[in-house]
Amino acid sequence: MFWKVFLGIWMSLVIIASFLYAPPALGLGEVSRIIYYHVPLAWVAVLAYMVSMINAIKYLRTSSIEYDYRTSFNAEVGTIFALLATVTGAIFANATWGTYWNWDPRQTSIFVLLLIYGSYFALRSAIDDREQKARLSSVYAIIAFITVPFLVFIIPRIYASLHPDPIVNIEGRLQMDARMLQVFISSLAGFTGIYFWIYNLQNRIINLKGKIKGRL
Amino acid sequence: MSELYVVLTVTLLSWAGIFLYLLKIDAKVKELEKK
Amino acid sequence: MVTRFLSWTRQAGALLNKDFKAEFRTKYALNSFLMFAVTTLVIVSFAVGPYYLDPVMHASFIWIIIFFSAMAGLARAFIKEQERGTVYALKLSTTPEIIYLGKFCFNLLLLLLVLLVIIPFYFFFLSPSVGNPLLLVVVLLLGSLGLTGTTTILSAIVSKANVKGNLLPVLAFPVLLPLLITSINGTRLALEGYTFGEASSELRVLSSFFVIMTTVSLLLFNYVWED
Repeated sequence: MFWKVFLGIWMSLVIIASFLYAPPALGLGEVSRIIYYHVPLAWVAVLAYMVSMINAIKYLRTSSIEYDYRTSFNAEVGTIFALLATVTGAIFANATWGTYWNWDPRQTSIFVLLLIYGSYFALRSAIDDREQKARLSSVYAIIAFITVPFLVFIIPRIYASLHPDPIVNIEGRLQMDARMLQVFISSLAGFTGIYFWIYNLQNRIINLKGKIKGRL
Repeated sequence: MSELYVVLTVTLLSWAGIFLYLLKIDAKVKELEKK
Repeated sequence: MVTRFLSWTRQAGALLNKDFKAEFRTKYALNSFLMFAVTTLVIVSFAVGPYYLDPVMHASFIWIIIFFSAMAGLARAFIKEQERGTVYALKLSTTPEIIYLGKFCFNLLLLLLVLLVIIPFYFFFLSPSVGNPLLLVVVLLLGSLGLTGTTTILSAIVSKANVKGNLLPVLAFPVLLPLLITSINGTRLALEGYTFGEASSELRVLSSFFVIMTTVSLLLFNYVWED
């Protein structure tokens, strides 16, 4: 119970600090405060997708159904976080670049990621048999995921990036105000904490499901 | 400046909502686990 | 090792032979595939009419035609077996890897046959200027290899689903996106007359896409095939 309350207070403090304590980034204005949400959301999405991927491989190795539950649960969580990251990113893009969407490499890759998982869910809903659903969708997730590195290589050759990440990385990481960095890191930690809470809940629900099935 | 406070309040309220929702699920799962 | 390889090729060849015989009795797949491609091509030709197109547009149109007709034409390789109830015979007779290879070769030949008709037709109707014909052929070949390698395993997945209708394009698009973007870019370079050296990174991406996709498919096909 303690760490849940702690997480609740921690995130509230992060939210307050992100608006009042941290100064706005140079040149980007007050809108830049969205990075304390946008970046952690994207990070959690990637984390959830990775966990989903690991569980898909584990499922193919062991074919025990609980891994498949974890795969699909994490894929869902990842998709929700990726959608939120896309939306916050688009808002930020509109404020700084003037359009919500311009096929920036980052936007393209997250778009393809969402498409992949959209297809993944479409495939899952098209198969009735429980084991086939688990097996085929795991295979599909692996195949689809392999192509993502290609995009990372190809897209920048065609569209140039305006994403502030290079700017933040090269000039900003060192220059990024100490207070900004503090809030940024705390926000990352807070969001990761939320993810692990959700992850913990998922696993307990999956166990419960197994128990209920066993009793019937 | 007041706009900043409006956004701050909205964000805080959404976090409170999410937090309470997660707590509720947690309590429910705990209750089911006891059974 | 060599004998094993020979027996693999022989078995895959036997499967290919069987598929071709079955196909040429009905010509269903080839006909529908070809007609789909021709229809798309004619629509493009009508829509464009007398206007002059950039090489980028030509490249995009060529690959849109190839992608969608391939989705219509290559989906049936495994569904056919499922419908006729010959899956179990196939399962008993040989290993999954050989089935993948046999179906891959069949799909590839089908796609190349269609390309052999559709690309001259495209030039006939829209007459794009080609700067480097050899590069165009290589890009089309490498693109078809990657396209077929991916579609073969995905169509095996689709054949197990309850709703088979439009699932293949939905599944294939995100996976094939890197291939499509690169092929379109490579085709553009070929039309504009760039040399092989200048298009080397496109060619490398296309061939590594093919190699990686086929390897992964061979590794994973077992899981798709078993019941």
